[in-house]
Amino acid sequence: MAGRGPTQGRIVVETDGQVSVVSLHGEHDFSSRPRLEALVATLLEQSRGVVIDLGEAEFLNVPVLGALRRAADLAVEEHKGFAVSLPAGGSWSVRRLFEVTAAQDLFPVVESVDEGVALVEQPAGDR
Amino acid sequence: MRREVDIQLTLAARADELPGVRQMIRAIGRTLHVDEELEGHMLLAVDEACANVVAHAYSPDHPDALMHVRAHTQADEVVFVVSDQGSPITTGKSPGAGMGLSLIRAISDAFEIEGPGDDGTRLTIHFRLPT
Repeated sequence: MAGRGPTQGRIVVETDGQVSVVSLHGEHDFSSRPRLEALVATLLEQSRGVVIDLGEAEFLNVPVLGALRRAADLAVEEHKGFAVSLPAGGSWSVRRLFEVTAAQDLFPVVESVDEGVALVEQPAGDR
Repeated sequence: MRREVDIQLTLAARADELPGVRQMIRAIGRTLHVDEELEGHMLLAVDEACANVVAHAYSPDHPDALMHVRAHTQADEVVFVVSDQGSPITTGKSPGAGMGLSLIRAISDAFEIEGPGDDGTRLTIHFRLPT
């Protein structure tokens, strides 16, 4: 059943100078955390905010949630926008991780990248 | 007739071993014909137990930092035992460890911690198999 096998974690960035979208593909754990944290910190400096897209993420664990939480805290400190997009069709285990850990209490969780971009583009006081 | 598994891995307690652990859990899920939900719970729980060992069980300069993962079927369940010879994993040790153990408790059918002792610390995680 090749379709159920793991896919090595990949991080893809798209930016228009205003909002950066960071897409996590495949599996992510400790190994992704340093790169993800450094990348988001840099993108927050360079743009109005960051949207993390988990639509292609097959697996995340608690250390990655920790990295997302730190990214959200950094965005607040720098008065930038931050959101995590977890679409309905995303990985079952990622959705379950978010549900059990109440991840929506740690950072804003939306259902699409468009919704995330709209949230990040709002003035800080309106988010 | 129910299929059975009994597998034991001894791995370096390093982050780069976690994908191999997840690959083993997926193989067990296929062997036992479990559904996506049970396989997802097994993946999250056992990965988290191993991640706790990697993050919290050993000091960075420990010369022999190992983790052991055993998976076996018994009666109507599959049982995973994740053990180490390091320091204790406790819910109060760090926010990350606490969230990980809460996650394991929430998604498994039963969960026990033994140790630390001469044999180290053991997390035993039970999942009921569908009849």
